[in-house]
Amino acid sequence: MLKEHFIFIEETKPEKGDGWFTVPADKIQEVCRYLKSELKFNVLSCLTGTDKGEFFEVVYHLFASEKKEALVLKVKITRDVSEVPSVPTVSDVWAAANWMERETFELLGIEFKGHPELKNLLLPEDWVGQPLRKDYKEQPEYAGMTTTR
Amino acid sequence: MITLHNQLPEFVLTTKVDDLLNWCRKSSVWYMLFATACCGIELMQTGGPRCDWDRFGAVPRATPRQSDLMIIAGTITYKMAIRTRRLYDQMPDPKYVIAMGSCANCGGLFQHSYSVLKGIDKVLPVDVYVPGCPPRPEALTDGLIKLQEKMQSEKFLRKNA
Repeated sequence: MLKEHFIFIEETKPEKGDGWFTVPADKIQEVCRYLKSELKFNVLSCLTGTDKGEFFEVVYHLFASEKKEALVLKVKITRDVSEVPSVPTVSDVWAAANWMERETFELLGIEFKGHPELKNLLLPEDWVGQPLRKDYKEQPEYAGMTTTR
Repeated sequence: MITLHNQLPEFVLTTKVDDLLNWCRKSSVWYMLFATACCGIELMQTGGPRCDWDRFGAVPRATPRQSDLMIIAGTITYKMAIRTRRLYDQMPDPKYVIAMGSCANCGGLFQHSYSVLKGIDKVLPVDVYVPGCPPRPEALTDGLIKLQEKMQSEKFLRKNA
């Protein structure tokens, strides 16, 4: 049903476990608005990011509380050294996305375009680097404290 | 001393001022009610009726300004380390620190994490290290007794002379 409405969506069905839909980055807001208003996916249970090496992935776990259905969306972002990876925000669709996008931003450095307050959620504001990136190098010290033993 | 002792009535004891002061201090080690992770649960158990730190004169205080002892119970992140140092600075002298459990000793299980401090001794001077993950109340009590031995051997009056 989703694929009939949006032809650009790719479906992946692994042999084991649940499948997911891959959405192009620039269409994610449109798809999410449709899912919330028409298909009643009223809960964003989890929004997170992963570093797959060659590309980043932002993963959206949705839930429809009336129908008791779950859905997984993924957005692939190519890894380019010269520019900051970015995705449009969905925090205006589900308010729950606000903090989860900030968390993804601080840990992976993925920018969510249009986010009302995109700054570090839990990490200190003067933190250097994105800790969950595969190429993260730990600083020798933080605020005068050594990071080695 | 012995001749003097024989001249005094039986209810009078003689001692050194240092010893008396140290005895008073070690018998009222008030520790700060402060815990950052799962060691805190074991710390509560130690303060509770079964292990009963009250019998050593150790009672929890809710403010650093009334406490003599800080027990670092749990993982300390860099963000928390700055706050911990501030709490420590608010405690009046003389003050003591017990590092409780692996995390406070060296970062423990989480030492490879990007945000975890590799031992509280990077930030504060530590008097007693208690190993364990988490230490049992008996181990922590042993740590307190070790600290009391240390306090009893101090030359407190002549410290600043």
